[in-house]
Amino acid sequence: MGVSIPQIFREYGFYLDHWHDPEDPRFYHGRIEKESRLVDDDRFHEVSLDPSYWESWVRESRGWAKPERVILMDGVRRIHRRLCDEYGSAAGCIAEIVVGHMLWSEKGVIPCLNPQIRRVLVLPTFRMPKLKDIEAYFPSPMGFKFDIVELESGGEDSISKTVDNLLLAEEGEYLKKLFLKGEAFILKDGTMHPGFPSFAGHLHGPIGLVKRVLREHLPEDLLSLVIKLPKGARTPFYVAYVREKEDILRVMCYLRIMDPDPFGSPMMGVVRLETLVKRVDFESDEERDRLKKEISMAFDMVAGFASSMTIKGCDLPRTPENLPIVFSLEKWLSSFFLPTDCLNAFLKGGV
Amino acid sequence: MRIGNVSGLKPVTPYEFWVRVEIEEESRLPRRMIQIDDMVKLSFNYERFKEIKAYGVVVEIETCWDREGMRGFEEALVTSNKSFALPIYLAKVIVTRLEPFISVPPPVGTPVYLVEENETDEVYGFGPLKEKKRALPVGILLNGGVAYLDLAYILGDNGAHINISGVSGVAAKTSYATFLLYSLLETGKKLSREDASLRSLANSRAIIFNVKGEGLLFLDEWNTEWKNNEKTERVKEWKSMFEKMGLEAKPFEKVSYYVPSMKGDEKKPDVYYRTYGVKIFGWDILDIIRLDLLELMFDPEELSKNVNIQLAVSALSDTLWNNYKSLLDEAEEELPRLRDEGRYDFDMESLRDDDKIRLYLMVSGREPSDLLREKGIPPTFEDLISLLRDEEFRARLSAEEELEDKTIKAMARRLRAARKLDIDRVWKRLDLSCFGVLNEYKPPEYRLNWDNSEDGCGMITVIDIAKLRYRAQTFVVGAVLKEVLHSKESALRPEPVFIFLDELNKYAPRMGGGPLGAIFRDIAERGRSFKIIMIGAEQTASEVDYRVITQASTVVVGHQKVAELKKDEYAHLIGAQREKASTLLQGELIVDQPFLRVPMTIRFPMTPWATREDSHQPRNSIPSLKEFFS
Repeated sequence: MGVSIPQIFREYGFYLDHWHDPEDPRFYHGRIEKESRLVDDDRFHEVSLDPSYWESWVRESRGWAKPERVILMDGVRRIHRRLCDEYGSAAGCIAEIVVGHMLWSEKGVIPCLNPQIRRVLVLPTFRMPKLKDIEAYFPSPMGFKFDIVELESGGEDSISKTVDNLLLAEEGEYLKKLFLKGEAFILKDGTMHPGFPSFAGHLHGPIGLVKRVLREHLPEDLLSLVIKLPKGARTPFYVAYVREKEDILRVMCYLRIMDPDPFGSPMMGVVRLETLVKRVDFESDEERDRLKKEISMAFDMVAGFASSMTIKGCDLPRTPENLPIVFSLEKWLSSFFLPTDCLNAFLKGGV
Repeated sequence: MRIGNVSGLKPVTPYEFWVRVEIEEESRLPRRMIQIDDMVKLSFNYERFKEIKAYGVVVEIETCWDREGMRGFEEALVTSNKSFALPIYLAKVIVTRLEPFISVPPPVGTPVYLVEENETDEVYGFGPLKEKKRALPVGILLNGGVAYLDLAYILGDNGAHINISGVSGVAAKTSYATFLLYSLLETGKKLSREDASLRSLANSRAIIFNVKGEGLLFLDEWNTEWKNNEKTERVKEWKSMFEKMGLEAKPFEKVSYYVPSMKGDEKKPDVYYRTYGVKIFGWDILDIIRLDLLELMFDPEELSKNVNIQLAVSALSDTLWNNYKSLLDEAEEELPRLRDEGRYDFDMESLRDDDKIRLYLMVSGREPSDLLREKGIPPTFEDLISLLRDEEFRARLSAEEELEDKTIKAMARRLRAARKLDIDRVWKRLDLSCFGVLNEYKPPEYRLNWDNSEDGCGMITVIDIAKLRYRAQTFVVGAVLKEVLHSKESALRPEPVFIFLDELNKYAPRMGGGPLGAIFRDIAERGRSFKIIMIGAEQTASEVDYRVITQASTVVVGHQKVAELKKDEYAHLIGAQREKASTLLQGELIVDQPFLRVPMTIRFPMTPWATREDSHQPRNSIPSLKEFFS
């Protein structure tokens, strides 16, 4: 059962917010994660958190092999139009989410041709019980269908928050599917959220690559060591609790993929690698040691891979942290968005 | 085989569109790559019309990254596997045929397929040509299909004349011209068997000027490339090309060869390799007057610039023509009486005017030279110069034509100079000895018998001008053209006459062609009505007389220099064909005719007849010692 989008607009008195500033037409940059500060009682780490020990560990020569095949996974979202209710308050949006991957190997890069696309109409459905569990569509020849999704509460940022959470959910689903196929080592762009698959070995990952890291996360003495990391070097990993869901632990390390510019931020070229492990697996000493070894190998591989995927002089947006290959994946995925002008034409024709 | 879809990335019109070539997911290369001159087809329908089939030819191909504003470093990232971008392959197609002809563009996204060999006729519309028996096979297309030209654009019905241009040595202009002639003659024979009304083509005549070495003096002999390599793949391929075109691969038959005489020896042919089966050609004073060839003995550039000399030459020609007419009148009056006197015994009415004079000179009982001199007609080249030295003649000419004496003297000086330029080798003295009663008239042996096939002369007449100096070459070319034009003007016969001349730019240059240029323009513009078909060849079409080159309905371009290809003469080449013409291989040519929307790139086989003096094998060659003893 479906209902046309213009019909919903007419019936519930929504209108398009003409003050809505369209986002980057190509893709969404992602929000900065709120990060918990590393605290002394974080129990598990690769080596001692003592700065002098960290320093000597980093200086050690480490032979990092690159994986033969890497799946790079990412998701993009676009809020095409924001909707206002009859009182002029932001009440929803028309948005799209595309999640997909690319397979890298020495032979070349192959993009997925059928990424996961979700089109949503975000509305305050708690006020509109009739719209529950039905689809909305444009009265267009193509008849694109949109899921009606409830707007989350969250003040002014609620629309973005709702879409971001949908993106996370889609990414989680997609990551699970990729993980089940087990075709290659999985490197996901962005942080690893609870609900994403846990670490499954150095040949599979998945590892998250967090591009934008906050200085505040690390104590000052360790931060100064991170800044001094040479290209291709990583810090020892450590484990932090995922506060929201304490049976999952997040294992993290810092990696420099590019030497900083003389005039750039000292954190330029520093990324964070993450993976999730089950708390229960870290309870047993034997399993913990095995996992620590595997994670160490996986982080080493990613360090070797990611630091080799940059070039000097590349002035793509958000590089060097945003690897060019990830940038091209984002562009590829963004090409699956409906053209905004086309969507506007449908809306203007129908509303 | 599907190659891609009609692309909406570029404008689509009923007459041209672009195809986005399908890419393989893994390799990112086209599933089926296409090339310039590939033929494609598609079908589509709109509600208002029935199914429309469209055929076309690829004229341009381009590939680039399918990403707007991609920069160098991004490409470096992609090529070093650090980023990803999809390439896009786009091919421009010129629509050659819409069936039915409804001018609507194909919808964007319509699948496009490659045309296989058996569908070639549909692309270029050869089917109707074949039905009307006007299809002339001219080579093999890229997909293996046979390329045809419309005879109506060659034989003068819709247009005439063929022009072939290309750089020397690579474009194979001469070989292709002889191949076209062969195809015309053989197709003529074949078509006349199917349709009697086409017999004239089967009876065509061809005149070929040999301008280099003795290359074209062996057209009736096997090419050693064929004979020595009969079992090789190359020869098998050539044979198969001939078979596809429905032509028998064999040397020409019925070819007669004419060569000039050695300097200072009128009876000895000037040949080095072709030492057998050749005749000496030339023109005597009666031919020169009849065909008005005097002006061809002078420097064409000077004639164009110096009006006085031009007037003097014209006056001398007029005077000689009047004397000729007076002698003809006398001959026509006297010949019946001389027959009654038993000097000769046959009907002279069917003879040409100049032959009547020759007969009269033979049977008049007087010394022919004396009689000619008496009538003011110089029998030899030396006599002509002497005549101009004669004060009485000069005075009369000055008085009659208002010429200054010094101009006539200057004309005499130039004629003397022309003798050094081999004019004397082609001016034949009259040989009119006759003893007893003449029972039969035989035309002079040096006469070019291009129009006669009954006495064993060929359908092809090869005239060797390679060993003559430039002035004599232009004289011969002009004389032959005038001869043919006169002949066709006087008797409107339907058989076409093909005249092949290489280095056309030398004889009909864009600037200052003189009298010969005027003859070429006349042939180019009026020759079509008389079925005189010029097959001209040159390195650079831009250097040929504009009025001559633009009259050619069939244009062939071989390997050509890039700078030359930028000229307007090559504007008919579409898209990348201009660039392609600079990379054509030997045996590849681009052929164009008005009925074609897109010129065709064709290949033609190595000719089974020799086109070089060092590559011929006589039909009845002398056996080697080994063969003799076995």
